[in-house]
Amino acid sequence: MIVGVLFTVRVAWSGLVLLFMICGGAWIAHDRVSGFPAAFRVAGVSLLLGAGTVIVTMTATGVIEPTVRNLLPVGSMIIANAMKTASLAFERFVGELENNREEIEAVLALGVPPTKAVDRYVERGVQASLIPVVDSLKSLGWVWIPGLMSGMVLAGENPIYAAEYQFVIMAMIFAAGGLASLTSSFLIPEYAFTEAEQLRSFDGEESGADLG
Amino acid sequence: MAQIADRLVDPVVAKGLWQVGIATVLAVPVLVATYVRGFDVSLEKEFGVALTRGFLRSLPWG
Repeated sequence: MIVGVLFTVRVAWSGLVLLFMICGGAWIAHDRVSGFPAAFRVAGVSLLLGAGTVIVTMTATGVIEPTVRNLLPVGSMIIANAMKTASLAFERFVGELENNREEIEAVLALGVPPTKAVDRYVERGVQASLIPVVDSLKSLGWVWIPGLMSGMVLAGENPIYAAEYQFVIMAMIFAAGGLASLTSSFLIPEYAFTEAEQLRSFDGEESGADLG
Repeated sequence: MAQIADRLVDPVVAKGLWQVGIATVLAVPVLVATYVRGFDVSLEKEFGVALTRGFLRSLPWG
């Protein structure tokens, strides 16, 4: 019923609905590492830059038709998948920091800049977060046939175009996830340390209410 | 066979190829950003393989 109502509204409203979806996605991703300072802000900016850039670019080039009927389903697919990638990057990165706390603190004690001290762990987080989407792209049309193609074929669309479009969707998901993951890789190290360049505790006690 | 030929010359297929091109170009900033960030995640290789395999394998389904 909600989808039915949404399809009747003006196209400008779909931007607002997509923004709402991004906020929801950021909230869910932030929940994964709620002890991390400014987790919601980092997740929100990552999703906005990742999913937002892809949706705007693809709509501007006409790949996504600027109608509510197209924008909302395709946009939600992109946002949801970018959220999954950002959550994985977050979870992995914070896990790596917790597991290697002593090593990082030793490196910091030697005078290495904080962002440099955690670069290796950020890299692992980005790599791990992109595994699902890269594997999905690799297995496309072989192991995995997305429901989107089946739906288009059932709706009477040219099957060759349906096959092309499913690839387009997967490439958009890769781009959105990649951008979200890389944005978080730039932002996360900024909040992982105190002003005295000490590694923060991520148990929630030092999350700092002023950081959001 | 005639049905397949009809499908291939459908203008919507050319439109789809153009969309595939745009979507592929969209992935370039991700690869460039990993390079700028100095990550050794071999993403360009991974994406290149995924792109070729994914695209070439998905088409025969159509």
